[in-house]
Amino acid sequence: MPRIKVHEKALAHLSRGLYRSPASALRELVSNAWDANARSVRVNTNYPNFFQLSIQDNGDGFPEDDFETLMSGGIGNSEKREEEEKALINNRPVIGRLGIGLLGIAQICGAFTITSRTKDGKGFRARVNLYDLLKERLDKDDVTIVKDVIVQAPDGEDSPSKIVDIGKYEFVRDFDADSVEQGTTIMTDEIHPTFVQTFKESLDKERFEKFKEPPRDWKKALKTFSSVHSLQELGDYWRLLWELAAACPIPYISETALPSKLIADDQRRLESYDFKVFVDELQLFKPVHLRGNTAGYTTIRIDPQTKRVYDKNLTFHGYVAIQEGKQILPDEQRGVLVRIKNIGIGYYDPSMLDYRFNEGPRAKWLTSEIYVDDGLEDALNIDRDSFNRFHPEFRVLQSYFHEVLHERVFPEVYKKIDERSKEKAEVKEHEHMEHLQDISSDLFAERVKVTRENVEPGELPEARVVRKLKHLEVIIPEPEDLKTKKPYRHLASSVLAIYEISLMERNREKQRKTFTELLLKLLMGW
Amino acid sequence: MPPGFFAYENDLLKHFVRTDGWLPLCRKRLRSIRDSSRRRSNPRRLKYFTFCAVSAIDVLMLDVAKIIRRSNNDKFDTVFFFDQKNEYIVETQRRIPGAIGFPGNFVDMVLREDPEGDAFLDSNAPLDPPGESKDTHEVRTSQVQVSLRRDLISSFPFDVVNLDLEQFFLVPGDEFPGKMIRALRKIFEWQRRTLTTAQGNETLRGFSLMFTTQIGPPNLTPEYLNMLREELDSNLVRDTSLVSTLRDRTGIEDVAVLQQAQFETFFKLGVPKVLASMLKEEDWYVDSERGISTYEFERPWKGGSYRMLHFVMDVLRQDPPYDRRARRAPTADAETAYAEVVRQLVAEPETVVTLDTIDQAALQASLDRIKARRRQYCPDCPEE
Repeated sequence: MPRIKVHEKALAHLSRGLYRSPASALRELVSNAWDANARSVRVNTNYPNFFQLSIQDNGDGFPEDDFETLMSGGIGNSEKREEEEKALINNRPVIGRLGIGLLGIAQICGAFTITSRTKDGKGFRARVNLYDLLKERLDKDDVTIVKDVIVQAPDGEDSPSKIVDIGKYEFVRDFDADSVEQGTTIMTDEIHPTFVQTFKESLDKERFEKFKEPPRDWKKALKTFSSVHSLQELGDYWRLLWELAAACPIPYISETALPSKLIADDQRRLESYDFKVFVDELQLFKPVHLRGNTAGYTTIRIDPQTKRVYDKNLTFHGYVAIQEGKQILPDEQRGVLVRIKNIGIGYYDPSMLDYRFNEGPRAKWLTSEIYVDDGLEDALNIDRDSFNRFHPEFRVLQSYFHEVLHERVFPEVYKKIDERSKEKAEVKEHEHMEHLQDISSDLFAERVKVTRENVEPGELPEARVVRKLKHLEVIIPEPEDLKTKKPYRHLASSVLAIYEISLMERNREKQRKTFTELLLKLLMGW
Repeated sequence: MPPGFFAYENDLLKHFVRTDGWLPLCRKRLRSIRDSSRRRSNPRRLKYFTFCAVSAIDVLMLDVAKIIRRSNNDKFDTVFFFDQKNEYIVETQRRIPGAIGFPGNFVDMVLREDPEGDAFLDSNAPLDPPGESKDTHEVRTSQVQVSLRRDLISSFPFDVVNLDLEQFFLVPGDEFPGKMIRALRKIFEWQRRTLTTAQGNETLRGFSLMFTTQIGPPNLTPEYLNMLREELDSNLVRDTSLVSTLRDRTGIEDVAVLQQAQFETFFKLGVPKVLASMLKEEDWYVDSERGISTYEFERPWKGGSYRMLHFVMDVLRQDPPYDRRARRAPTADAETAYAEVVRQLVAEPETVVTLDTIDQAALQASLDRIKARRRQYCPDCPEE
């Protein structure tokens, strides 16, 4: 039976464009650093000129041989997966990559230098140059880059295939491994002008009015993020900070970054990994920070769940937080972010994994994270930014999450809305009574007390004024008993009261005058 | 040793020059900024250009001395530096966060041709995708380089320019008058640009200049030697009293004989005069109150040694500026100051720095304070 093959050019095309933003490409390199046991990763953009981008970790590093293997066909190979079982420091789960992440940087530059040094002092430096105009050359089947080879299939049969060169590399022979610290550094040698331009433009205060000089303190950065509706108002540099912070397996700013200790356990776990990411010497933390909302928060913890899907485990936990009555800012923070082994997949999904109920503005109050500890990797699309939404594991997760939203989160939200409305109405009612009392007191120059009385069925509602020993009592008809539209009932009741008060005047003229004055005062403060 | 660290980070001779020459000069510059500030309570911050190398000792020394003030965001964003390699820039920025780095060969960058000339400083324009050229390595590199050079020009002027280049001022292989001289002219020209700060625009009335070079090389071409000789000769012709001053200092009256017999002295006198002349031509002049201080020390290298020269001076803008002067001739003040500076140069010998002439303990303590500050900014950075 003939074999089904995929042309190698498909993989070559991937090197040209796989990630939707620089942050996505950097996220892959951060993941590599995590798997290399790095404790810190430093991204340098050379702000504000942006003529280079580098990412440096202090991880295990890797020797020249491994790099050669990777460059000579190892990218996209599954060898790394087989190594996944290696134990990482601090009980970190292995993220695992196909090596494609290394080429993610190719999206923003045509050449880069990679330097690595292992613990035992072995190291190398190589310059990688990616071919110009690769797409055109691939489309033309340029024989200098698309080459025929014979490979042995698993059944031992020789099979003609093709290898595609996407660039060249050379080792720097006079490189002294002792001159560098342990770890791996990737540095762009020739960054693409469009990247430089985009980032430089993002500092232009005429284009981005809300732009602020980036701080060195994440707390200040959080204030800036929550001061805008969309990150786009701050420009691409701030977006890079936010997106990278959202995606990386780093801690929150504190264990109280979310109410009700929602992330306290995750915070302890993330801190225990001892993994830090810096961008231009600013240490990143997760960008979510919900504090100080006057109407409070509704929080639902998603306790660890394990589902069986086609004989595989799907294990996850997380939370949902609702900022009552107030939109989550920035918009990009709204929705749900799914993390696989702590790495954010794509960004917060405002559709909440295609939630099918319309919750109106309430959906904008929600932010959520789901940590998938086991499974779901097969549902990942190759860009690692999105899911195959028909994958069974995704569907199981989606279905559970929607159930949580529909049966626990939003019912609770609506209940609280009712409570808040009731409270609000009571406050308003109290204010109206006080207002009526105040304007009446002004008129009589003595204390006036306003009380309410039910209207008997069939009776015409009316107010009464009764003189008591130490005060006047204005008895108004119970607003709820008045047969008019609900929003006008309190007003109608108060109008009846001032009418009754004005009738206490001796003649018609005075009555008219008092009524008019009281009515205007009443409406003025309503 | 981490990348980019010069082996002489701990060099006390060099640190003497920093503390004795650079520090007082920068302190005086800061005072002058404060005195001329429209807002005395919140004067603008000092703007500093340097070749600080990864160790960034000079920047951190000025930070410790509170001459360089960091931004509200705790960044060294008024510090601009140049380094040969991208990786050194990254390392430097770890030690002085927020400082703005430029990569590559400084002289080549300054002298690089901009197709639109130096008047066009929109650094984003060269990054626009070109309509006709293909998306190739050469095209992209050229785009970024032109943009970067415009960024560099836009960053001028500076209150302090520390050209601690540590290379030869005059390179025999260069086409006369040499790349360095042509680059310096550009820099002095760019120093005339309007300074834009949060407090508003201003024209610099002066700046501080530190310039470093090795003595030599011994095989200077006749053109360079002529240039140095002519500088000295013209001074002696203009002020004949200098002849006896020169004789008192060197025992020689004739410049050509001085060149042959005492090349180092000839070089030490000639180079600062070239600098002073260039400044005058570019509408500046060396302040005669301090003149040009020269420091010299020897540094071991590859089994031998070489001698370093550090020149330190205050520079003032000619007033009125050149575009308001007939034939753009130097002002009388500039000419008088120039003559005085030349007289001082000939009369007062350089400060020769050796381990015997310095207070090693005090300098070491100063270096330790600076390194402690560096550890504050970069706890993980390795020490030399």
